[in-house]
Formats: sequence, C-alpha cells, structure tokens
Amino acid sequence: MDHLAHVSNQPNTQPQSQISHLALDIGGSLIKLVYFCRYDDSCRDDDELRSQNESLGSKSDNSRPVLGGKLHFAKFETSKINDCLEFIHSMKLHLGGFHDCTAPSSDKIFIKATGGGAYKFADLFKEKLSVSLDKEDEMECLVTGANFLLKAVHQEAFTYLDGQKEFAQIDPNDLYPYLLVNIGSGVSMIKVDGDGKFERVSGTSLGGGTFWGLGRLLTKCKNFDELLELSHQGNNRVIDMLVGDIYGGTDYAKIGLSATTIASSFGKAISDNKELVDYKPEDISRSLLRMISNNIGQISYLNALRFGLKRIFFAGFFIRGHAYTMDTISVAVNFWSKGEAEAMFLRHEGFLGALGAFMSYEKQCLDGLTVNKIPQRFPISVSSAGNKIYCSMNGKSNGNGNESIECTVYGT
Amino acid sequence: MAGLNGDPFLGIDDNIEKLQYNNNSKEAIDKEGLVVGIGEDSSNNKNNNQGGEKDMAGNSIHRSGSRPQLDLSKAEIQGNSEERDPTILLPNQTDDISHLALDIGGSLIKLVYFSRHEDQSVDDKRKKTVKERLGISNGNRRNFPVLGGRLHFVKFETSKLNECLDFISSKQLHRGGIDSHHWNSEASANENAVIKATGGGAYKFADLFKERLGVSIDKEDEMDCLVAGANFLLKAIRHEAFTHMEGHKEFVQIDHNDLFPYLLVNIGSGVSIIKVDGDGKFQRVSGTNVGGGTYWGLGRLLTKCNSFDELLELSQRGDNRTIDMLVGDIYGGMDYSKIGLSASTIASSFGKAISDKKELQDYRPEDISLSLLRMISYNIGQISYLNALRFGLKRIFFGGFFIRGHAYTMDTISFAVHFWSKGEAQAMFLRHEGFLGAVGAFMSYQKHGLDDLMVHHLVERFPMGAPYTGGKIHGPPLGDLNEKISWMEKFVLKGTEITAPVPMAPPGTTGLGGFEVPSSRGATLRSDASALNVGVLHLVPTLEVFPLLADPKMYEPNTIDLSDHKELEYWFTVLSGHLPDLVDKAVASEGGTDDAKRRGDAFARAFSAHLARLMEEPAAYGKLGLANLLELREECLREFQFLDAYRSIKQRENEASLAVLPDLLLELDHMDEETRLLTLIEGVLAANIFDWGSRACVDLYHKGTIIEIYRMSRNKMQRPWRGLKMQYGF
Repeated sequence: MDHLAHVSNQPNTQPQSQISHLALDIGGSLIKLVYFCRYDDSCRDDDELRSQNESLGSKSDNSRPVLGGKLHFAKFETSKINDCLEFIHSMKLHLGGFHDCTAPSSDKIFIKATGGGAYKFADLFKEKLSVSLDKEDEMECLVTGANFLLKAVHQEAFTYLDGQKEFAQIDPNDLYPYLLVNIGSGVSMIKVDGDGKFERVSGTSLGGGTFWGLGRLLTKCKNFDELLELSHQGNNRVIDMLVGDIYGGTDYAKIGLSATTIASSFGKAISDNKELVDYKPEDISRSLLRMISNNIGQISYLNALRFGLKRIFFAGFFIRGHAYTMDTISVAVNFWSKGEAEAMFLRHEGFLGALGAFMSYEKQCLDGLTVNKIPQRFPISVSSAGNKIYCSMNGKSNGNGNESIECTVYGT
Repeated sequence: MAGLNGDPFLGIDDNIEKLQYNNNSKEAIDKEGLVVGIGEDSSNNKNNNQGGEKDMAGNSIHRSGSRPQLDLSKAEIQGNSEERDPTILLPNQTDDISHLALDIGGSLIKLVYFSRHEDQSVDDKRKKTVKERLGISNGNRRNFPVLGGRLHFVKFETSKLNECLDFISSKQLHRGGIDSHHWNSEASANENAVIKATGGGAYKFADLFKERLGVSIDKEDEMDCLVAGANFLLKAIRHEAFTHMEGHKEFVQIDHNDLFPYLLVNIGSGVSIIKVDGDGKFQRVSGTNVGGGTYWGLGRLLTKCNSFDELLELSQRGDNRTIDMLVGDIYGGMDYSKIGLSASTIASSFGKAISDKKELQDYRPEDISLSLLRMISYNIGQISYLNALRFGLKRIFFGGFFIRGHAYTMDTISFAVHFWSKGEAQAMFLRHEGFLGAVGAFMSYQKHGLDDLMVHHLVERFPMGAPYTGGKIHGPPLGDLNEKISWMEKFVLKGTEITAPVPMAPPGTTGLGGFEVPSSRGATLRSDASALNVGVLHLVPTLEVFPLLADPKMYEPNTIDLSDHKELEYWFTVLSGHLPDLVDKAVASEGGTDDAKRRGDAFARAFSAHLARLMEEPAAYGKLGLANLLELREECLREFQFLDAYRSIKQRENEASLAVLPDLLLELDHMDEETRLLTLIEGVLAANIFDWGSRACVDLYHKGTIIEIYRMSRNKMQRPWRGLKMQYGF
C-alpha cells in the first residue's frame, strides 16, 4: 500500500476530515476489506496530488464534491477476525460508514458487508465497533465487483497459458455474457448477463478451502501461501496415478489421453509401501493443487458450454496470482473445450465481493460515493459512461490483488 | 401358475413334465443338459453335445478362425438378481477355450471366469433312475445338450498381482478351468493360450503373465469393453439397474428397445464418462481424475486405513460436518436461500480443516472418510450430470468399483444428479458395477451370439458357487464340495441368528441443498468375509415367454413381493423355522449317512447365512420375491448335493399315485363327457394349488374351501398327499 493517494479538499457530508469508507467481504476462510482513504499522513507527494486533483477536477463534474484518495485492499483470515476488528478500529475505518438516511438523527453507523460472515459476525461488529453491518447479497457484490473491474480497470483481465501472461482487451460493450467463477473456500459459478443481471448456475465444494484444509492435514503447512509456495517445487507424478502408470508408460491414444494425463489424483497413494510421512509435502501440495484447479476448470467449462459462453473469468482468493494454479485451470478449460473457451483471470481476483459491497454505497441516499479514476497514469477511456465509477490501476501490473486503486470518490 | 413349488414332486400324471418346463425348475433342466455335456461327453467335444438339439445349433456357435471361443448364446443369469458379482451360466459353451477374462485397472484387477458345475452327472443319473422307475419318457420334451457353467466375478488389488496369478494358476483358469480334464483335450492345452484382458494393466503386465502363466494377453480396448459389458448386462439381466435415492433402492426395468442413448460413468481409480449410442457405438466424452483412487489414496494418507473397504466402512459412522465447511458455518447457521443453498450444503469440502486449532490426529478417521466420500461422489455426480445435459441424456448409469453397492455413495451421487438436474436426470446403478470391463473382455471372445440373448433366457440365481466371499478371494479357492463344507464349518455359524429385517430408512428430509447425513447408514456395507453375495448368472435356453402374456415385458412372475416388510418377515420366519425339519429330510434322502449329515449341516449354515444376509438387505440380490427365496433354498440344497430332499417321499407318492391311476382313469372313462372334463379340470386345479405347498393352501384345505375340489377328483384315490401336506406346507 505504498501508492499515492490523492485528496481533494472538497467538503464531504461527513463532518470529519479523516473519513474513510469501508466495505467487507467476510467469507469462510478470509475477510476481505476494501476501504477508501482520502489524504492521510502516509501520503508523500502532496504536490503531485494537488496537481492531479486539479486536472481531475477540471474533468469532473464540478457540481459534485470530489474526494481524491485510493482504494485499499486488505485481507485477514476469518479465524483471526479479532485482528481484523482491531485493524479497522485502529484505522478508524468504521467511522466511515453511512447513517441511516431515514433517521438522520440516529448515530447508527452502517458498514457495507457481504459474504456469510456479514450475517454470522454482525453481532460481533456491533459489540466491538458499534457499527451495524449492512448486508449486501454475496453474488450481487461479486458480479458488481467483477463488472466494475472489467469495465473500468485497464488490463484487469489476462490469460495465462504455458507460463505466458497476456492481458486481454475487453471491450466494455462486448463484455456480456460471461461466466464468473469465484473460487473462495468453495466455488460459485455465475452467469453474468449485465449489470445486476446474473444467475448462480453452479458451484463446487472443491475449492480453496479444500486445498488449504486438506493441505494442512497432509503437510503441516502453517498457512495457505506457504502451501502454495511448496507446490512450486513439487512433482505430482510421485503421488498421482498417471495414464502412463496404468498403461505401462504408453499413451491411451485412442481416446486422446497422453501418458502424463492424470488418471487418478492421489491414485498412487494407495500403495501399501508408503505412508504419509514418506511423501514430500511439496509433491502433495502440487498434486492437491492440480486436482482442485483441474476440477474447477472442468466444471467451469462444462457450465460455460451449457450456456454457450466463450469467456470464463476466474477470481477469488484461491488463485492468488499463482502461476501454476492459473496454468492448470487454463489447461483444463483449454483441454475440455478443445481450445474453444478461454480462461481469464482478474488481477483483483480476491476482492470482487468486497469491491461490490463498496460499490453499493453508491445506492445509498446519504453519503453516496462515486469512485472515479485518476486519469493521468493509465488514461483509460471514460467510455464506460453510465457507470459512475471510474478508476485506473495504479502502477503494478503483476496481478497481485493487494494493490491499491487510485481513484476519486465523488460525494453526492 | 404353479410358480412357487420348491418341492416339485407332485404325485400325479403330468407332473414330471411340468417339472421340466416349470419356471422354477429350470435348475433341473440346466443340470440335465449339463449332464449330457459333462457326464457322457466328458472329454469329447460339442458335436455329441449337440446331438439331440436341433434348434440350439442355430444360434450357438459361429466359430471363426482358430481361436477358442465361448458360446454365449442363451446365457443365463441364475435365480433372482444378485449383488454385485453374479455368475452367468453358459449352457451352450462347449469348446475348449480360455475361461478367463481380466480387467487390470490401476487399483484393482477384476476377473471374470467361467466354471462348470462339478456334480451334474450324479444328478442326471438320479433323475434318470427316477424317470426310468416311473416309466416316464421324456415325451416331446427336448433334451438340451447344453453345457452349463457360471461366470464368476472376482477382484484383487493390483498391487497384489501375485495373489491374482496364484489364484489363476491354482484354479487352472488359464487352461480352461479346474475341471478342464473332463473335456479339454491334453493336446490343446495352453500351448498358445490367450487370455482376453483390458485395462491399462493388460499392457503393463503382459510380460508377467507370459512368464508366470505362459499365456499371452490379448488386449481389448478398455472403453470397448466397458460399453460391451454394460450393454450386455443392461440387456441381459432383469434387475441389473436400479436407482438409489435417500436410502431407497428401486430396480428399474429397462426396455431393450429404449436403452440408447445413455451416459455410462465408470468410476475406477479415475472416472470415464462415456456416451453410449448402441452396441459398439460410443464416445468417451469426459472424465475426471477425482475418482476411486483419489478416495482411497487420500483416505489412506489421512486415516491409516488398511483397505478401501475399511475406509468405506468407516464412513458409515462419520459426520462430515466436523470437517466440511457448510453454508451454515459461513452464514451463522442460516441458509443462503436466495440462491437455494441450505445451511447444510457443503460450501467447501475440508474447509473446516483450515482451523489452526486442530491437527490431523484431532479429526476422527470416520469423519474424514465421510467427508472425502461426499466430496468425490458429489463431484462425480455433478460432472456426470453436466455431461448428460450436454448431450440431452436422461439416463446416467454409474458403474465401477468405487461404488461397491455402498448406499451412501449412491445416495450422494443420486443427490448430486437430482439436485443439479432439478430432478430431470436420473442416476442409476449397476449391480455388476465393478465388472463391466471384465465382462466386456469376456464377451470379446466372441462378439456375436449375444444378440440372441433374451432377458427371459437369463436367470439370475443366488450365489451358491464358492468362494463365499463376496467376490474377494481369501485363501485358496474352494475347489470341491469337501472344501466348501469345510469352509462353511469354519466360517459360518450354524443357525445364524436371523433378526428382523433392517427397516428401510425413512424418506430423508433433505432440504434444497440438504442431504445432511447418510440416510442409509445401517449395516449396508458388508465386509468381504460376511458377504455371501457372489452372484451367479445362468443361461436357461429352455425358457420361453408364455405367448399369451398380455405384456411380457412387464410381467412379474413373483406373485408375492417381499418388498412388503411384513410379508418378508413372515416368510423368513417360516423358512428358518422349517430348516431343521428340512435338513432331516434331506439327510434322510441321502441315506442318513455321516457324510449326508455333514453336508446337511453345511447346507443349514449356508442357507441360514443367506437368509441372514437377505434379512439385512432384502434387495441384495435384486428385487426379492417369494419364488426367489424358495429357489434359493433349492439351489442351496443342490450346492451340497442334496439333489432332492423329498426324493424318497416323492417316489413313494408317485408309486402310490400310479397304483391308483388305472382306477381313476377307469372312473373317468365312465363319466359323461361334461362331467369328465370338469373332473379333469378340478383335478388339475387341485394338484396345482397343492403344488404351491404354501400355508395358505393348507389353510384353505383345512377350512374346507377347496375340499370340494379335491373330493371330486380324488375321493377314489389313496390321497397320498394327505400325509405329506405338513412336509411341504409351510
């Protein structure tokens, strides 16, 4: 979060100057935070900011208050929700909620939240932070977040095949329909036909939680990233049963299965001669990762096929910009579709829901926010008119979901 | 229809004939046919066998080339349906052939092998004697020169290939079976013996087979075999397919003409998904690498189980909620109703295991096993449905050794298919699930002949053949009667307690995404040692469909359906209560020798064990009707060479009947035509009702309801049946 923030001094309807806006996506394994920060002390380049603001201001609808700043993204493990609460508290993020417009005198502060945890932990937030969680539907948030990113953020989507990352040019006018596959603890597959127009068509319980849960049991890794890291050095052939293992090293050419195709994940582990301790954690991790990625890729493709969708966007915290994961998913989609469908990934993969929840502030009658892009760095066209939120990616293009998005927020 | 006579003695006139045509007496026919093949032809070939049989020749053997072939025409499944590995009788098989086909997969080796009855000649001689003594000729009854046999279904773990080789070697299966000396000329034996095999191992282990057994493996394509096996089983076996939803098993009658297209999902180590459009017409459209090998592989690593079955059994007592993350866990116990997910839907398999607080050893192996099983079954169901949808297929058949008749596995798969298809597609399972490939390889010995196969020729019988181990071999194969008896003495308790049937699970209350815990827990999964369910498929070419049946396809010969639990309990009680008396009779019929006593004892053990098994799972051998139970008893008797427990009594009665026959005929001759006709009909009717031998008839008799019928036709006779009714009545 070392990005520049831009602040304009336009007054907000909120009285405090340090107001931030926060939205949460509280999933089964992870809590994702998106918050908007106006100027704060950590921002280092006031001059640049100011000049940017000026240029921005000139382009913007002057009648509206403009807030410069950036969207920050953060995540916590759901099991460590107290850390998250503390973080919010220390950053005073919870003060940036909105007040109930029907009862303006009320001090009740609402924070937008989605994910199952928005229900489960509502009381906890009330107790610890004295805020109410305004629950937004999970799927709606995912879709809103994805639509926003795909339309507004330059080079948000990319393909990844054979180690080659390639940014996809998405024409915002030709975005729909697409399949959105959100891989969190579990997996949701959503057919998206437009803004707010979508249907959850499928899903699978073999998701990120399965990878991490099984991985923890099998490898003693301490966290998800460590497990993922391990898979880099692993060789799944030690533990997976390949077509070649069954066919004595030959392909099963008749039905197009090469000797290296996995016939059965963990199929070699049935051997009596080896116990868990005899397998390298690296190999286990690799094998797990392939099993789950491949399965998700396959089910996604079958659902895309069902609805004649050519584009499949994969998101969710499971991926984490991990090359091998993306590669496996891409290969699965490519293999099953015989090259007809394409897997694409989102750089903000993990934050769709949180972002969607954040966008939903817009709908509120009070303190509504409009996020606008900062045009100077990545001047993407503002052609996505009608969408009130514009923004551009700031700096990095490595697909790491933890970066910030510079943006401008318009108070209404 | 004298459908239920387990005791085909019947003193009068046409009974012997009837016996031979009677649906329930087909065993006798098999044997008779067999005898011709075995007893008299022994080492000679089929030309003799087919001597008396004209119409058999037509569809029996079309030999091509020099390769030995099986004659599968008029193959028959025996008895009722059986569990997962029934045996098939091939009465027309007459050649010296390889009797073995293999499907060598990544985890398991599946064997289908052909064996023949050992004790048929004795049977035949006795029958003959009876006939001779009674002076009854065969009349126009065709004497089928058919060779009988059975298809056995056995499995080994691929890692224990040597056990498999030992088994083959000990049974001499690669040389045409253990009794090959009967009929297989020395010369032809295995110089260039070829065994049909499929599965990856057919390639991998070909050299080993050559080296150890001196046989060549003739490799058949795996998918070809799967499809051939499935098509054969679906067409040939009456109760091959069934649905399994929420603990409820229901057999499905498949119309041959409306079988295709369907989706075949074979779950082995991995999963193949095949669209089948006809015989030999198919395409592998998909598959998944998350299959049986994954379950067992991950299960082994996570639980220290020593066998697949152990792991599966553990799952019976598991609760996956301790380890899976449910929608309710995420939503604080609430449903996510907007998208139709109930709180109990699994959001993430193993998702709770991410908790820092628990390590592997803190989770119960039972829970892990169940969680794994649900994950994999559900995933397979889902992918299968998506593929069915793609091709507009309504029927999905699941086979492969992963399932093992395990109720929860089937429920999970069915649930997934039902859930995702919103009830439009249906998951069905195959009783010979694990042996599709092996059966297909077996069929490939001869690609024709199957077309002639009619369902009514195939009768599935209760699994009498050794070994009594549910398809898995423990110890040496049971070669002869003596070994069989020893085995029974050793492993099966006499008078196995027969408890009340396990009640069917009540229809589960599964919410939208529900499906909480196994609704079919029970003891439905059996360890190998106790599962007496090696099935037998017998071919009875003599059977024809009664031409006047209005709807032959839907005709159900069982008039008493034991799926009614009260009915089932009643008949089980009757049969087991009757057992000691029956054993006494049987032993007496064999002269009451020590040997007979020992056999009688073994019979009692075996039959009790069968009953106990059926009590536990009435549908274990397919849809269970009363006729099947009676047949089971008969077959069980024959298994221990009690060819006719009531033989001496029948003999006596027949003699008595014959003695009074002239008088009766004379009397009939003196009647006017109308009276005579009526009397004849009454007589036949009376005999036929009596033939049932059921308590109901005895009751009728006692109440005098049918006494009038008897009176007319029998009052001049000695009424030989009067003293017998208690013996046959239940």
